[in-house]
Amino acid sequence: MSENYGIKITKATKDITSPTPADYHFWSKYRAKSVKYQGTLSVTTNSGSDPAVATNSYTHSFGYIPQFMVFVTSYDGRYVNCNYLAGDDYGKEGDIWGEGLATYATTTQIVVSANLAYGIPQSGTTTGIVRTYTFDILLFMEEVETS
Amino acid sequence: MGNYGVKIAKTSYGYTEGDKHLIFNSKYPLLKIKHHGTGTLTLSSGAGSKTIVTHSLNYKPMFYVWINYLDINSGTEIEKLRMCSWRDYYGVGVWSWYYAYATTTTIELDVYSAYFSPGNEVLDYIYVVYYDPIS
Repeated sequence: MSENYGIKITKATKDITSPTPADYHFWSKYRAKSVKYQGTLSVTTNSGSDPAVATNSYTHSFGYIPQFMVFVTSYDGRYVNCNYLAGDDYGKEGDIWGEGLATYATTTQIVVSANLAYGIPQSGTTTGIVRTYTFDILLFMEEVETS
Repeated sequence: MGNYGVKIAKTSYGYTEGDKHLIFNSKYPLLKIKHHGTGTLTLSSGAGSKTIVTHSLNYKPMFYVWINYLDINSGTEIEKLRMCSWRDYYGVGVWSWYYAYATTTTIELDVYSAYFSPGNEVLDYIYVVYYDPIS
C-alpha cells in the first residue's frame, strides 16, 4: 500500500503542501486526542480515625490503557487536574487538613480515589472529613503507547 | 443508518483491528484548542498568582498548564516544564506548590515556594485551553 494517504485540514492562510504540522488543524499522519468516553464518578470520603482512602471506578473495557484526563473540585474550591495534593490550616492553631485526589487507568477501568482528613499534631491523631467529590473523566481513544 | 464515518489506521494496521490502532475515528470528537500560549509568573518572596487567560466560556473547560520550577537547593529556575498541579515536600512538610485551576471564565495559576532565591523568581509557563467542557 502506498504511504501517501490520509486527511489534512490546514489552518486559514496555510497551504496544504506545508511540511509543518503546526500549520494544520488536523493531519491524520499524527496522533490527536479523540474523546471516546466522557462521564463522572462520585466519591465520598470516610469519617473516623485514620480514614481509609475512598475509591470508585468506571469499567471501560477498551482492552488497552487509554490516555485520560480527570478533573475535580478540591476542598479549597479549585477545579484542578488530578493528581492533586493540598492542605492548609484547620480549626485550632496548629491543626491542618490534608487532601489527596488521585486517578489511574488499567486496560479495563479508570479508578479515582479521595482522602480528606485533618490532623492534630499535638496528639498525633488524624480524623476523616466527609465530603463528596465529583470527578469529571475523559477517556481518549488513543492508547498509552510505549513505543 | 449508523454505519458511516471515517477511520484512519496506523501504518500496517487495518481499520477493523480496533480503536487502539487508529489515528482517527470520526465517531469520537477531537479536542479543539481555544487558547494556547506562554507567559511568565513573577514571584514575590516565593509567592505569586495570576490569571493566565480569560476564556469567557461560562463553563470550566479542559486545560493543561506546564511551568518551570525552583531548585530546592539553589532557588534558581529549573527549565523543565512540569504539568500542574503538584506539591513538593521536604520531609512531611510542604515546601512548595504549583497549582493551576479553572473557573468558568479563567485559568488561574497559584505558586508558592520556600526555595525562592531573590533575583530568580520569574518562572516560564505554557498552557493549552480547549473549547471542550469536561462536565
